[in-house]
Amino acid sequence: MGSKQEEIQKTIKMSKLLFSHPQLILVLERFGIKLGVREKTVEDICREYEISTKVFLMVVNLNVNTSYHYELNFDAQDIKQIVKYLTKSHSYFADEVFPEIIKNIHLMSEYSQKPEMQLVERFFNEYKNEVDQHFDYENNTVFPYILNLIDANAAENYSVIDYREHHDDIQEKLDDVKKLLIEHLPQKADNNLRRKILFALFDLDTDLQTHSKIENEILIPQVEQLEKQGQA
Amino acid sequence: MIIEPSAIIREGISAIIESMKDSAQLSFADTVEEALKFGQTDLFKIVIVNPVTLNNSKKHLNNLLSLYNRTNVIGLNSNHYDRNLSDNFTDNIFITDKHETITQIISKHFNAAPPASNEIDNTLSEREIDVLKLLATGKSNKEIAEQLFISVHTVISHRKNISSKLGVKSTAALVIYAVANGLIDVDGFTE
Repeated sequence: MGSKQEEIQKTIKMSKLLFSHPQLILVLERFGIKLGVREKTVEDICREYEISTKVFLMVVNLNVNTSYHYELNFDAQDIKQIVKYLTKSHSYFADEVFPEIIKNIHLMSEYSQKPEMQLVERFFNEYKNEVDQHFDYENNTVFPYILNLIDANAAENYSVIDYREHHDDIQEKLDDVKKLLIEHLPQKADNNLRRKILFALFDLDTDLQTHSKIENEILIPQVEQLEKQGQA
Repeated sequence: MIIEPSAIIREGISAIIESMKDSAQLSFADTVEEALKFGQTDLFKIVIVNPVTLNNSKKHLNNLLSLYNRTNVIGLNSNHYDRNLSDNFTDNIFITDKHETITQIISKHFNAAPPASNEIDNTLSEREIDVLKLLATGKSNKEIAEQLFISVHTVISHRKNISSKLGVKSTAALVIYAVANGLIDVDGFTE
């Protein structure tokens, strides 16, 4: 224990890394790395899967330590891999996390028969639609733009600066739901449902925070640099 | 500790304090962040802060009060601020106050034990409840202002305080709070 703040290095054994930080199993999945990692190190695995070690280490380090300091020196191929990783994360949120939470909130609402719980259900469904739209926008507009910028070196009448503005209050509504369920709405006997929902919301929150950090603090500034190079 | 960005006011208040019998050593800061650089917050026997350094934010105020929870925190009001801010200080000095009023306030709270605890009261005031009720029935800021005979600006300021007290920001979440607490009927809730 106590090694949490230590930077993860490429020489560490992948299995050791996963035993200390099991939440990274999800990260491996998004990179397309299969379990059964044997004695291989992070570096070995990255080479085998043709993943940039730099990108992999940035993602895992940010996942275990949100204040991890990284260098902004990713090249075009790295950026492509970051985009791929983010796209995979979107599918995970949309296909796995949200349906599960929505199912449980629906059950809770039915079970409690309380008007406020029906409103919570509606609130969360609307929130989910907003998040979906945001992901769609990234998947269909922002990411293709970035890939096109790298491959065709074509800067269109669009810039990631526009994208930054799209990118704000997703976190805020999530916080509101947690606050309502923990503090403001008396719990009847919806027993394990509310706990399941809250655990899922906290996991989602942590995951989304790292996700937006990669987008806002790494992807956007790096693509801005590419845009400038393109204009020069 | 004096947290005051204006040089004139800072010099003024320190001259007044130094004229007092047992004058103490003073520390100055322009901002709350700067004040925190002095480290240990229980070092100070009194904290005098201009609410202007709190950006009119209840959250900043709460942070400040919990940081200095073992000291009396006095407001130094150089302007008209939200009453909700100044009401939460142990006491308030106004720059229009007389010399002796100021020294009285300071000596009263200097080195005195702070109020039982600077526990922050998060219950909504009656006026805030009025605003929340109307908000929850889908009324706009302007409509709420007209109905309660207050300015739109005041509505917005109530709304901010409601959000910071309840810890929820979106209107939808405020509606849910209102329904759960019986402030409005579900029937009163329109899309």
